[in-house]
Amino acid sequence: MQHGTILFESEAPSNYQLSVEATFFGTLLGAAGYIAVVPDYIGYGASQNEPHPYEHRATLGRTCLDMLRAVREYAQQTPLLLDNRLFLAGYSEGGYATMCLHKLIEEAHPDEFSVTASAPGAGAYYKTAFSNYILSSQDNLIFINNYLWVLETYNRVYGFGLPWTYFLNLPYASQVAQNGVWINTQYNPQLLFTAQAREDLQNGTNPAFAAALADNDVYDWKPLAPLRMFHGTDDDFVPPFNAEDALLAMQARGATQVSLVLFEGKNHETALEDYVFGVLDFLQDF
Amino acid sequence: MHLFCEVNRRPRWYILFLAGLLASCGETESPSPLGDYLVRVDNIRTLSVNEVRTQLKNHPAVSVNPLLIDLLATQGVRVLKLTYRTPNPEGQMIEVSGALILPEAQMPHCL
Repeated sequence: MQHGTILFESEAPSNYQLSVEATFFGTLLGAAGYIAVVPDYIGYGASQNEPHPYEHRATLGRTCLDMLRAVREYAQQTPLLLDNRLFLAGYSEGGYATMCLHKLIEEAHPDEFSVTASAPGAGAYYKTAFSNYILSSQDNLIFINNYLWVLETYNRVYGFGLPWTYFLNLPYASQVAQNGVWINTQYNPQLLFTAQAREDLQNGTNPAFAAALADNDVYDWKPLAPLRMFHGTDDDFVPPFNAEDALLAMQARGATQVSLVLFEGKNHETALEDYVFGVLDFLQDF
Repeated sequence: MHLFCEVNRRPRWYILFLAGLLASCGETESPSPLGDYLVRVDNIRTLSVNEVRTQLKNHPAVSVNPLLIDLLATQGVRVLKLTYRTPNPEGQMIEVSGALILPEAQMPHCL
């Protein structure tokens, strides 16, 4: 069970705040008889002094995989009873992390774990298209801070070392450099981002950064285990094309057990309840 | 009381075994590394089925039909904090953590 975006240490699953959606869902699953494994991710809990690699495919997938390995070790030392079923689920960043973990297990560690089914919800699986969508938008975007966090993460993790003045116009660049990505800033991408950054990131004229974005795409692969995506049609935080394009790409690769459940008229927040019970219903099939 | 009566009818070795199990339910279960990945296990919280139902029904963001909660939540849970190893983006092994939420039926140590 992978958690969505959190901004405070107190929200880490190991601090057990039921207000966090993954903790809520994990508790409901536990009370229904499932064993719920809920990683904090790097940057929270025991690793709170590390920066969180936000929406970074490789570290999200590996951190979740290693917790499954740790739980298996725990089960070998206690009377914990595990059967062979492994379900993956998560919403928002947790949906993205779920897709990363499913792909990592099936493509790199099929000898260790076998996914029974996965149910990612409202994840940003198509990073390249999502970035282009943001940079070409003429509207104020409520999730612009999240995108800045993605840029900050990829700039650090891939070692580009680009200054904020490369990405952002003044005075926003200096404000973000000084106060971090969660400040109240300019929300219109045409005014916030420099023409150079918009040109480079949209048209691939910064091939290294374009490759970094593509390295984090998890929409175009062939899942073997049943995979059901969930998304609100009115999600203006993570637009549903992320899931719709993933469905088409996976089917084009011959995936036969992939599906998408769209919640009509629901946005990123209001679709959460439908997601929780959609997943519980999905799990009943196994 | 029921548990105590049960124990009184069994040999002494059973009592010692039970005492060892109860001792393992303290704040920190495992002070030393437990495997290639698992570093330690800490008890965080135990909730009865009634506590689970009450808390889930009062969630601030997810309003769920209370009858559905009662239908799905059929047992209490025990929450553990697992600390384990994983590489950071730079490839250095670090200690990270997560919650392991166990159904009541899966927590024989503390029943």
